[in-house]
Amino acid sequence: MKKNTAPYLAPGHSACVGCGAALAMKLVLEALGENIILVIPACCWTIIEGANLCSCLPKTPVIHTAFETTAVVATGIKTGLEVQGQNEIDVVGWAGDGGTFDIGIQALSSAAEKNVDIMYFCYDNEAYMNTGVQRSGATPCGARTTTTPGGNILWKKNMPEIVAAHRVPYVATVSLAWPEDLQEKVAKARTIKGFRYIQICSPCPAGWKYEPRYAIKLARLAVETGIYPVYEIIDGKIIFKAMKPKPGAKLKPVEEYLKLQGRFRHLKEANIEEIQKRVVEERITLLKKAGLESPDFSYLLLD
Amino acid sequence: MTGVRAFTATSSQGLLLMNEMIHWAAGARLPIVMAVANRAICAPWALWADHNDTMSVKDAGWIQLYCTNAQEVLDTILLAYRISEQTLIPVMVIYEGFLVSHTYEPVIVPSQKDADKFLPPLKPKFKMDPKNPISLGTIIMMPDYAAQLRYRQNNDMLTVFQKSEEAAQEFESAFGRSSTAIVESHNTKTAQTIFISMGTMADTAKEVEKNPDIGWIRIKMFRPFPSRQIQKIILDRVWDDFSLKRIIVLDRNLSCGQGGHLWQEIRSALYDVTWRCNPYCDKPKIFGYVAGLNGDDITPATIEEIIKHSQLALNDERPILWGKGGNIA
Repeated sequence: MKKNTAPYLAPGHSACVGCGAALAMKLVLEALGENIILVIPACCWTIIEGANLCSCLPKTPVIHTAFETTAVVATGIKTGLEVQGQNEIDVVGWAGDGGTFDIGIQALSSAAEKNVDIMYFCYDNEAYMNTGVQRSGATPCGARTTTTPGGNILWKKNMPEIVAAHRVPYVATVSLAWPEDLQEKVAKARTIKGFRYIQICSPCPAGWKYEPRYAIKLARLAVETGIYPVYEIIDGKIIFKAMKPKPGAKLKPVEEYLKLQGRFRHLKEANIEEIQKRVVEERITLLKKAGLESPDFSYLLLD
Repeated sequence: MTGVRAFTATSSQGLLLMNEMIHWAAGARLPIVMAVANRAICAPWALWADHNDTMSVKDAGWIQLYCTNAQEVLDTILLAYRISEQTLIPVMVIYEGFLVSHTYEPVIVPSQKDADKFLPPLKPKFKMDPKNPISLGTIIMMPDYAAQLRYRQNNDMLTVFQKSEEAAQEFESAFGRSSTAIVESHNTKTAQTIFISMGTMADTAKEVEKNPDIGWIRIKMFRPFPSRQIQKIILDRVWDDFSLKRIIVLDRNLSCGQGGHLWQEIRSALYDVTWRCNPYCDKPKIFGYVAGLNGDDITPATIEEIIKHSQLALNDERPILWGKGGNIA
């Protein structure tokens, strides 16, 4: 058979300028390599892959499915392959945050509980962006969406730890600002057997309302301010690796991250202070869980 | 999707819960076979046999086969794979909850060898394969193209009648017993009254078939709907003699505000036929009776009462809601 020399993500996809999800797919597919089957539910990638019998993923077989069924369709495909002895093929779910945090959580929980041998990627753009920015369980506190016009009052659901509570072998969060780290984690996950969950912080120009050139900058600031921590949970243990916090190093103030985005523009100083306080609290809890307590661990940064 | 046969089973609320995927499987042209034990829909909480659950997905694009007993369910599952894989249309093998699903009956189980011969290993034309990457179910933004796909689905559905007849013949030669593919009828040539129903009610109606005035049709295939087959049976009657007085359709389901689903389909199928009646004679009336909802027992006596009632009834425009003691509407 002729070798398929096409790129993993071909030109002609229909993502917005400055979309994190398109870049995320490119990085992940490059790290995964060949011999995978992709399952995509209702999400931005339903559209991004291309309409009318065109696909921008020339090397990857893709099955599109209904919103809530990513994990269950992936489970079914994996079972079908296993019955035929094709164990080397990895089945990869690729869902947005709405399809993961909210509507798909039942199927996700079921597959995670059974430790089905599939990979599940959630590209987290923090709302139902494909349908025009409605709040999801992943929407951060304060963010304005069409269904939270006054700003979201709830704190983001802690999905990585919810998945990890199913005692799965591998959970990770990654950022597009550290592509080497992202690809390393994906490649590592590929070698592990069982249910693997990777959540990608994926900036969205249409929903976050930023200038397209700030996509990577925002992905970086999300980590540097402590709003979107990047870590792994291996067999239930939280591990910081590439961006290990150092004692004494300070987090950047959340304001730097918030002020670049239209979705936070309505926030008053008091609101930002509240968010800052909560981010620090969450950070302390997370570092405690990771066993990284130190006298001044409250403001820790990456190296 | 990977080239293996898929089977699943559900009932009532479970079928409704996954309504989205019923439509999806049909649109994705996946040859799935699903057994459905008909049970009533809530609220209030209800458990017993009732066709409303499968009737609610009659338009989803699945083939629907209504069985009467355990042997037929077993045989129909084998037939269903044959039909489904030839047409790429999923099949529901449907039987009434408790009446069939929770009763013991002796069945003839075919040997693995015979079953394998009837259903050789699946070789799907399309499947998910990293060596030959394709995308399934991508979005269609051209309305005319999307319409074409749906029309093609419809046209393939219409080939199901012939494919089913062929499959039933092959089934008979493979296993040595016959299996109904589409419709069954008895004594329809001379009877004054023809009784049409589905599932176990049709089996019960067999009991009253001894009466030479009563004919009997059982609809096994509800989707695609066998209008032609039913028209043919009735056309034979209204063409050369005028003794057919009434057609009674018995439904174990109710579309509130309209009547039984089978009654609606039969009226629609026979609309043309009744115009061909001799204008100097009364057209046969098509009475729609609804009975047996939520497992209300339908006995031979019930059917005899319904036939008696219909002999006095004048108006066939409204469904007759039947309960203990007669018309309760």
